[in-house]
Amino acid sequence: MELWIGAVNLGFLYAFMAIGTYITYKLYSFPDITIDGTFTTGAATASILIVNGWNPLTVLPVAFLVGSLAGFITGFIHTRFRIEGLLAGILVMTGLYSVNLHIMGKSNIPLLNDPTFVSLLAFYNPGLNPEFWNFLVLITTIVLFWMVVSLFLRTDFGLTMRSTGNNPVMIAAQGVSVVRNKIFGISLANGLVGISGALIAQYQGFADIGMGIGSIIFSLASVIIGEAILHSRSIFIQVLGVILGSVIFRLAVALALYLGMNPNDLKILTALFVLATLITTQFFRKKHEGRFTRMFHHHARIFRWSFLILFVLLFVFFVVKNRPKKENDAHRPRIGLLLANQSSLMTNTRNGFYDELRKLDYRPGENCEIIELNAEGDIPMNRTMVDHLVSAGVDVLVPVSTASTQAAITKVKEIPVVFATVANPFSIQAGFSDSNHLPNVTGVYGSAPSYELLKLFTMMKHGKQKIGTLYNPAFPNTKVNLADLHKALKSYPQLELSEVSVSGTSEVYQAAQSLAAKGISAFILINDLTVFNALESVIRVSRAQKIPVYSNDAERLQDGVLLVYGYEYYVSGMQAAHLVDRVLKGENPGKIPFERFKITSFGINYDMADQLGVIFPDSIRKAATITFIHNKLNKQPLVLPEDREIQTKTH
Amino acid sequence: MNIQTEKWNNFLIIHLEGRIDGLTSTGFQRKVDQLTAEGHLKLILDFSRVIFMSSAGLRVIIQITRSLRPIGGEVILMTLPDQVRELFRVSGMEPFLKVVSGLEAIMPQSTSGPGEAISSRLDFGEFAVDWMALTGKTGQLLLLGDPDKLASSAYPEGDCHRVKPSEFRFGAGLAALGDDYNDFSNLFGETVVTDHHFFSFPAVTRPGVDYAFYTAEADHPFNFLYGFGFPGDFSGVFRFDFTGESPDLGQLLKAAATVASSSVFGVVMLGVSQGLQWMHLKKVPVLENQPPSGNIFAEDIFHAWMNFSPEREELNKTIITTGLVSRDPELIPERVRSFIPEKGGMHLHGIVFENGLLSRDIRDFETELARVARDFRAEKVVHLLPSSRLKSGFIGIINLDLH
Amino acid sequence: MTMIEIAGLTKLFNAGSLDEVLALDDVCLEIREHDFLTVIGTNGSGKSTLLNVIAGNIIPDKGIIRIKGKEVTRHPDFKRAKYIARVFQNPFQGTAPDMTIAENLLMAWLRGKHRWPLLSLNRKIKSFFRDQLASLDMDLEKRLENVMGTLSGGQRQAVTLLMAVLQTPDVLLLDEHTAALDPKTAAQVIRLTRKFVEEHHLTAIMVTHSMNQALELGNRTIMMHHGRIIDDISSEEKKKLTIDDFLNKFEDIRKQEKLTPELIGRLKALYC
Ligand SMILES: Nc1ncnc2c1ncn2[C@@H]1O[C@H](COP(=O)(O)OP(=O)(O)O)[C@@H](O)[C@H]1O
Ligand SMILES: [Mg+2]
Repeated sequence: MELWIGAVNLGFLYAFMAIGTYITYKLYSFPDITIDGTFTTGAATASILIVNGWNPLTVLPVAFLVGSLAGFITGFIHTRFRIEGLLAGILVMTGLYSVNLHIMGKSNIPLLNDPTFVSLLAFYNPGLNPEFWNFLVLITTIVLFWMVVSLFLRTDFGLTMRSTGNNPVMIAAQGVSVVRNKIFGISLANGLVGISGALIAQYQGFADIGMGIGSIIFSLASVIIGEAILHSRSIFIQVLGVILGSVIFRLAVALALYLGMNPNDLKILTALFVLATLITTQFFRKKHEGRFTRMFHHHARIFRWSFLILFVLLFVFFVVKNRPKKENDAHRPRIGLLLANQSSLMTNTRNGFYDELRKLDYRPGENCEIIELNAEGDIPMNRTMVDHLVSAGVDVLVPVSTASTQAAITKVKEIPVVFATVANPFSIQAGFSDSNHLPNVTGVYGSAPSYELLKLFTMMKHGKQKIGTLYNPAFPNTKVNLADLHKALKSYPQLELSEVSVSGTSEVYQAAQSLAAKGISAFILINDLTVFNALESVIRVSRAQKIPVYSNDAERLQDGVLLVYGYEYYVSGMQAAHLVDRVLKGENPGKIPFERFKITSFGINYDMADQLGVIFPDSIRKAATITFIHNKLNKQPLVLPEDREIQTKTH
Repeated sequence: MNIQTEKWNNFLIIHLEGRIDGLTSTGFQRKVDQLTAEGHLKLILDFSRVIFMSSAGLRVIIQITRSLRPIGGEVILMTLPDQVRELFRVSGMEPFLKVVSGLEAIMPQSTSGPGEAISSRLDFGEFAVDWMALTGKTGQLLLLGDPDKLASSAYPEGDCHRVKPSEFRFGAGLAALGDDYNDFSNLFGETVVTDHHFFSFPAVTRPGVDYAFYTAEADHPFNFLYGFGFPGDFSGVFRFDFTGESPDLGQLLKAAATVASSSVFGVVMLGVSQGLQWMHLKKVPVLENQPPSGNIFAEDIFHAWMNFSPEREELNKTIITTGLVSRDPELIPERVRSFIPEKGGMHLHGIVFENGLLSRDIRDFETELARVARDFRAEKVVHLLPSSRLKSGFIGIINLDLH
Repeated sequence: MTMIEIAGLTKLFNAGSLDEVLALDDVCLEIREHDFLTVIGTNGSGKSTLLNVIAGNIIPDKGIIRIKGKEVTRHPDFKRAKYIARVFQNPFQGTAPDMTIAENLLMAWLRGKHRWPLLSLNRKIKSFFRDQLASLDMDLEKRLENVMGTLSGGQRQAVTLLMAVLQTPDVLLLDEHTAALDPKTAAQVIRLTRKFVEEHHLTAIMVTHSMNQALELGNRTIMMHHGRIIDDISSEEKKKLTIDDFLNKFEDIRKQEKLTPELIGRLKALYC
């Protein structure tokens, strides 16, 4: 039940954004993509203020103002410089990414222990189910909001706004500045989106730099659904339609996940839905001649409905296709595995987890059940998936990565959570130390051992050296790793570090070249998803300039790195499997201390050494656990050091 | 409906077939108009294959009859079906129509063309015309004012010459009608006098409504800034009717010159236009209007002073022209010289009327001239250039005594 | 009193490119209060541009426009709306198609005024609108709540006209506002135009393609050609004019363009 009420509540919160989109898209025919950025801006502003002690309600007007400012800029660029609306939106949205990062100071602000409107409501809760109590308050708010917006759109001012969108030539002839009016409307819309962002951040318990991605499509979908179900000329009904559309959209998402649909499919479905509707409305707008269009026009309602039905069918198809075979065996333990994206980090952890579980005699589908979900890089999606896993009745939840873990520990209080491959669980408020942490949470963590990597480098190169590193500051883990590196550098005063930051994989090549130009004698790569996804770019520079690459990621040796020292995430999965085993056997997760990685890997690449003209000293040759030579990876099998506790529990 | 034509003696038989009603009557009218314009003035309408005729058809027939009667034409209705006969009877038109039951009842006139007995054919190589010699005496040329003051717009009030209409049968010039100079001082314009009737086109930028007018023998004097006139004793009349491209007025009048005896002779033409080139003043060339340069043909002001047709225009308009033509530029006496433009050797003014039918009989020249001046609506009066063309018409020649 | 004063107005479109057009060429014009000026001219002679410049939709390259003695040359269109009301050629341009007739009228009722978030579309004003609509004689008073898009072109144009005079403007600009209508509806709209202009004693400028309308309506007619005013016909002169005079005038211009010194010489020799 909570899943559904939660979805409705989310729908209410997103309704502010949908109304914003209704204003820009329906009133001004202007699909304002700025809101992808503004949504995050609202969330970021609210979160940073809340963390600094502001009241969770007083931050809402501030979020509104900041959002309006972004809208103002889009409107200004669009109207004053006559730049295509979509392009103006993209420009501001892109700019907002940096602004948002600056507001937040980091890519993720947890609000777990800070007051939010949810905690505020909880304080006044007369004893109802919290989600239901939220629902009651929110529905009252949204009804008020509905009345206010509808009445506003019927005032002289509101009518002027609507006329401006409908016929700018006419309204200008009536003495209205179309430019000012449009700017105002776009600002207002973005202000509402800012509020929506602020509310969602409080509701989900954190703000994240990526949380706004796709907002425009989702809110367009809401507007369109609303229009399809409540087709009316009355402005009250139209606004109500948009709010209902938002709720229905969120319910649909919840339903899709509940039924086990792959969120990838959900996205393409939404995109197709919006696309189809855009095309049809294009048809309506232009008075095309031609038989097909006239027929189309004539049967507009039928077409609208058949589109909707088509999508419901597609929806059902995707659901059925992906539906996990459910068997209602109450005795089989059910494990929920939540991955954040498709990177090797995730898959290696996952493989380690599965392999080790099997060694512990868990046979998925036979004596246990694993429900695996992947958020596909969509950060807000993690939260919905957690909801889904909870409602699917998992006995233990295994979030892999910081983002998934954050979603899990904010939402889940009753079910044990065993996280894996998290750099620093303390930064997301999972606990204060390895043994003092949230009662239902335990897991495996560890950041790359920078100190050791630097030590190995000094063994290879003596004396004063310049080294370089590059990273994307948007990733929470990166910040942790960078701090580590800085700390480690204090022990090596002879090393001088040059840093370059990037914001996407396409910038990595240039960044690497700029470092090479500074005369560095090695790339020291901390663990950073962006840089690892573009490792080839660094290797190209490495080969060309004969500058070796040192890395903390033990899994990238064969890709052209000279020397690796670090963890294999496979190990993280293995350790997590053991923790899950212990929890399923009845241990209290609150009593299980957080574990660091138990195995470190040390690899050297002879092929690369040849190319770069490097010779490994004997000490290093002997210490290496992995070697890459003649295009072949030689590796000892990974076995966890036998822990007494583990031993006794092993079957 | 279907229309076929067939020549029969000096008649044209028009075989009508089918229904003549509101739908088809305009086509019928157009066809008949075309035939009459081509010179077929004696028509037999054969109704033997007409199924039905409505009042719209009746209207066309009355109209044809009316337009052909004054110019010596004739409409005969043949083999009327009962319905049509009844229609004529009910409408009360029967007494005015000539109805026959068959060709036998029609007395064909001699097949010779009108006036053939009294006229002869003159061939000028590229074209040929009919010529009817008359016995008109040489007339006295009357010259008024000084045309040379025109180019500099230099006419003072004193240069206004008054003549009585009775003294002036044919003529042209720059004139206005009226008693008080102040009333007509800004109404001078290209003028044609024909049979004592005065047609003028005031030289104002926007001529307004009554720009070309006609007087029956009223007693208002004609006031000329310059002008010429002559009596109307024709020494002979040409009649021409060209098919295809006509010769222009220059060629035509050169041919006419061969029968004239005076070195400058007067012409009066009545005809149907096939493209005119013309000029007329837009301002009155009196002293008050004189431009600073003293030359109304100066490049920058020419346009403000003069209207002209860049190409030949006006098709199928009825034209009356009066003017002077020199037979030989060398022989023009000094006092006449300034009345005839240096190029072209002719000074013609023309009245452009609405279009209408003219008789083809050379003997009808003078009666038709009077009829057109009296009945037709004048559109404008212009100075005609020699490149203008007439498709058909008459030229009356008047030999002049130039002293 | 002078209502509009225009001096040296020049507008060059696409300057410097191949399709450079001098849409207005040093236009000077003075329009007195209560003048009803009709404007005729060949296609592309700059009539619409002149209206657009007066209305502020186009800012001229050179020249001055004063409305009621106040210089507005560089004021944007919406700032001039308190003086100027417009009816366009295209019936779709003058009204908002998805809004009701009442809402459209309200927009016009508020022309040049501040728009506050107030609910002024109340019963009282609706009954006022209904009365106004009844004066159009098009049975529209019952359709106050219908959206504009359901009206025919002629009805829309009539409503646009009503909207233009709802707040009596100082100047009414009409740009071929009957060109897109069938003859019968056009006549009806012209009748309304005449009625409104007379009732409200408006100063009006009406561009028309119909010489008939130009002759019959208004007390003054200007003719435009190649961005210039080539003729300015007063009320007394208009009484004497026929359509042919208009045609001749344009014909005249055509001739003027053909005149060469050689041609003048030849014509002179043939004339005297
Ligand atoms: N916005 C514009 N851009 C370029 N040329 C224009 C523009 N508006 C008008 N013109 C040109 O200016 C000239 C005058 O146009 P317009 O005033 O619309 O003529 P009219 O209304 O008299 O037919 C035309 O040649 C037209 O092509
Ligand atoms: Mg125009």
